[in-house]
Amino acid sequence: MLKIENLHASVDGKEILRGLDLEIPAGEVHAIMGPNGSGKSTLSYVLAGREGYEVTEGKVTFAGEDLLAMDPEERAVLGVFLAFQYPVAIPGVSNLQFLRTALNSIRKARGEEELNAAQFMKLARERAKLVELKAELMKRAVNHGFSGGEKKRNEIFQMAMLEPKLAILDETDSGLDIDALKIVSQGVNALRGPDRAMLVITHYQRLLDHIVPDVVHVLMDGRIVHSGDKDLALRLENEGYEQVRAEARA
Amino acid sequence: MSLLETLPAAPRNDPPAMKALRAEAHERLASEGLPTKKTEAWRFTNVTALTGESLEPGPSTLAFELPSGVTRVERESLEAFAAGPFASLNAALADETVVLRAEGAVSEALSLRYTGAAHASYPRVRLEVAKHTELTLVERFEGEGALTDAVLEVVLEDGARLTHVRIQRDEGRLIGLVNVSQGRDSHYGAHVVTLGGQLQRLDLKVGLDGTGASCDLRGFYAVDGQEHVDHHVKVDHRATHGTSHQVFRGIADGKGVAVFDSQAIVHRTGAHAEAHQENRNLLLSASAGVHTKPHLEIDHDEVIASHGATVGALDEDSLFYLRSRGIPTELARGILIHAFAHEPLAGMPEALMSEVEGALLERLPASDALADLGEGLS
Repeated sequence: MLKIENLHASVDGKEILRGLDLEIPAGEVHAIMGPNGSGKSTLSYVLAGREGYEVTEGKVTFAGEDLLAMDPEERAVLGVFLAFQYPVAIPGVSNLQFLRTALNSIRKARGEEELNAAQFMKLARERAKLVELKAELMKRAVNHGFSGGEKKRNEIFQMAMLEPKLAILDETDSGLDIDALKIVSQGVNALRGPDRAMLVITHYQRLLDHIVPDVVHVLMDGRIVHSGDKDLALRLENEGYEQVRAEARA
Repeated sequence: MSLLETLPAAPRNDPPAMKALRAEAHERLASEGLPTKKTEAWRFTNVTALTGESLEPGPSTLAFELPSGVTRVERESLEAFAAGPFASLNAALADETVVLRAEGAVSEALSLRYTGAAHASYPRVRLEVAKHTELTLVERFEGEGALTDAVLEVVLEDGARLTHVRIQRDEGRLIGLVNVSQGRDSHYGAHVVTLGGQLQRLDLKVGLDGTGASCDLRGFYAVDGQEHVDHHVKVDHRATHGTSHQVFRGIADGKGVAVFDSQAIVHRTGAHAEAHQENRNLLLSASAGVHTKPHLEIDHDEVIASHGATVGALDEDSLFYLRSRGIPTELARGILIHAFAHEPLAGMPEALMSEVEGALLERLPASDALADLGEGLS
């Protein structure tokens, strides 16, 4: 479903991704782990289409389309969703206004009928339960005055509403206490399905106890240096990145 | 040639009450004239073009109906108050001063409507709000004025409360002065909305003259194309325990220019004052211009004060966040600009809020989609 080949990308003239290859078939959850500065967040931004991230080489295809040629909103229409590491607060716009606008923009672009207020509210109430998001938070301004955990729950709530084909979770576990981590993970697991690919980017193994991946990749210096099953994450935690890389080379 | 020689003769209608005002105005105009490029308070707003045009007053452009509780009264003499060149011009050429007095229970908002015309006009109103009286005043400036030089004098007696909504949408030239004098424990809340125009300038001067008086001044302005708006705000804390808040925000697009100058002065007599000033601007095009200058003058130690001004582009992080959720760029921009305007407008009476929102939306990208953003959600 997602195929990344020899991807090179720079930020402010500095090369961060240096020949990254990755393939995620539909229905699978892949985790990417790596030390700080290895290029994890850069990868997520390049996939979502953020300005300022220059792709100098390589290609990314998703559902048969050239992803890199598209604007961020076109990627969303195609089914790409990025759960932000640092969700942005937007005072003056309610969460519900924001989400209905997003959902209906996507539906319109796909030639589907837009949801009216009643249909939308029914869906929102149902999906909010997945991450135990309070009704009061849905009405508040987007992420404005939300705690760290509430922001991350709100990201997964949005994901549940927009039903992407490719979900990229950028350090969704950072800053969460164990209860919040469980709730967010439950939400993510409920959204696993045969038509959906997920890319879980994390710094810590503990998230993968809750969202169990099919494949774990190790990202170092802008490349995937090793891949394995879920046990690889445990080894990374116990032995460290350098050890795992050395073994992979041997 | 001095300005006085080019000035039209005094208006046909010349009530005796205007006598002192006119004398003072003529004196000032003779010595100071109209602003030039060197006049500090008019540095960014060029009005020299007016000197070559007819300043001859035409028929009145002011219309109003009085709700019960507000009456029109006569005053034997009216005093001049510290103002500026256009307030003097107004005093020299206004037909009369419309003196309105609100007292006791007022049934509904007092509405004043000014329709800018092809001739110059000098509407002049004095509004007195009696002790412990509450009033909402709505002023609307419309049409396309050759020059509307409007003066509003507000006197709030002890414990009076005024909510003042001023919607400035004159497409021509509007130069206005609002001079507010506040008695003990009175409250003045202003919502100024200025949308475009060839030139719309407002001088808003508030005197906290009685102990415990407070004012909350909020404003929003927008320019595009060749439009020019200018807000000069001045708050004088002359009595103790005065509180003033200023929140002004604006957006500048196209080749539009927005000027914001704000002073909060805490005089020696103004102990225990609290004064806050905030001005934020969104610069939406590289050819647009914003000049902002909030400043504080404090002659006293026991003061809580803050001030700040920013000029910046739309936040890229926010824009990307919205677009990554599938919202098209233009609509995403519209949503963010609209949200930016929200704070200074918050707290306005609801019916007026939707009027202002409607006028504002017309100026934003993707306005149709923006208009039904909140429809039916609860």
